[in-house]
Amino acid sequence: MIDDRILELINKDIDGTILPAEREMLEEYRQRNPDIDPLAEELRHMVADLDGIRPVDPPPTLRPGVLRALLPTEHAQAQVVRRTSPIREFAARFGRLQLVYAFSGGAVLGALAVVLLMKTGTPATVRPEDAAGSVIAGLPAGALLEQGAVVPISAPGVQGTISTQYFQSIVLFTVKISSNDRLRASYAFDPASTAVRAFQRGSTADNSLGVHGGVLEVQSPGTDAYTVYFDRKSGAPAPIRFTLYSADTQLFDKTLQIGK
Amino acid sequence: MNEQVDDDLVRQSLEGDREAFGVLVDRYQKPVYNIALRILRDEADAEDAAQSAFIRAFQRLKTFDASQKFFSWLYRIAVNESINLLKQQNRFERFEGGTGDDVPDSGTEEHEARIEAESREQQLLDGLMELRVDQRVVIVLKHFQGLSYIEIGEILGIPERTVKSRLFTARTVLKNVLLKKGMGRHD
Repeated sequence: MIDDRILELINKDIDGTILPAEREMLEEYRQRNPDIDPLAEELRHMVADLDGIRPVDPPPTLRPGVLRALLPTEHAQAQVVRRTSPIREFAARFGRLQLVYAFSGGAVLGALAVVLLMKTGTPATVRPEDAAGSVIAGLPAGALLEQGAVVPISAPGVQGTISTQYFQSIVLFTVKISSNDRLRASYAFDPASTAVRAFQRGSTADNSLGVHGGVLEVQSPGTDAYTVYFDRKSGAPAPIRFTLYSADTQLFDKTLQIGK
Repeated sequence: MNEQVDDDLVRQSLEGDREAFGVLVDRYQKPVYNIALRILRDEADAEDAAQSAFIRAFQRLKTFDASQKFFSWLYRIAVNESINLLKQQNRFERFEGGTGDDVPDSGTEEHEARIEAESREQQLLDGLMELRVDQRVVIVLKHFQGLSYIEIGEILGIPERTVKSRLFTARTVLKNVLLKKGMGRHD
């Protein structure tokens, strides 16, 4: 049995901070307890191994990333305010708690919608209050977003973009669509690699965004947009599939790899 | 000498010289990145945390107390950014007596092959991730950054005595984790 006092003395000895009186005490313990020496050896080897681990060079993108964020500070901050203002306005208008209640209250029906999606292979339309949601947590104040890919949506009678922006592990996935027809746009992703952090819904009443996927209804004629805030669960790129339908006809289908 | 250079660079940065802050980034990007990497393990996350730490340091530079060491202040921000990222990702693992269930028994072929395949360094780093995050942090600062107990105490805002106690406990826990994984070193 080795108590905390002995462990402390062993560690001090390893670190070279043991006092002469403490060293004598440790010697006495060692003579009385044969378990001390093997433990001390084990710890000494482990500490030597830890000390031997060499530092890794930082990625070459780190320094430029910091300086890019700092040099145009005023410009970047202004852009961020504009970019993040919709969700802030939305949160301010409805209140954070109400949002959480609204989303969590619809969790069960949202899950049903997912089952429908899985069964039919096409996105199901559900009411916005039915959407399953996670806790709303927008970006921190002053967050500097890094612009990712912008993919044009091009289909007969349809124009739009899918754009991605990054902040740390957060990925903003924004879809904007203009059409003269009534459309349904959906996103789907792999929950093993990605989780939904928050939503900013589009303006159309029938929109439904959920933690397992989402549907955007574009009324005729109209323009609509939504942003989903994803959390990457690892550094590996993660797929998000975006599909656009007019009635039952698929107009556009694209899988984006989000990640840096 | 280094502290004087840091103080000058901080002063110049506060006067609006962003190139001076760039020099501070040059000087500290390696330790800051490594602190984040050893806490988070994931390279992309570590880059995010390191970048956030520098940006936050720049934004808070006016609050820096010149009686402190700049690197202590910066490392504290780096540790906090890394822990915040862990919290955001809900990856706050706790060590609850180890996760030995998925570890093959010693002596099996699979076990032997695995031991051969993995370097001792990787084993240590794997084991480190099973420690509680506060224990992991003291190991990182002591053994990967080579800081003294006093410096670690300054960074974490805890007394030197607590640093020692936490470090010694962390070492024992890590040793037990390694033993449980069959990575002990009884020569």
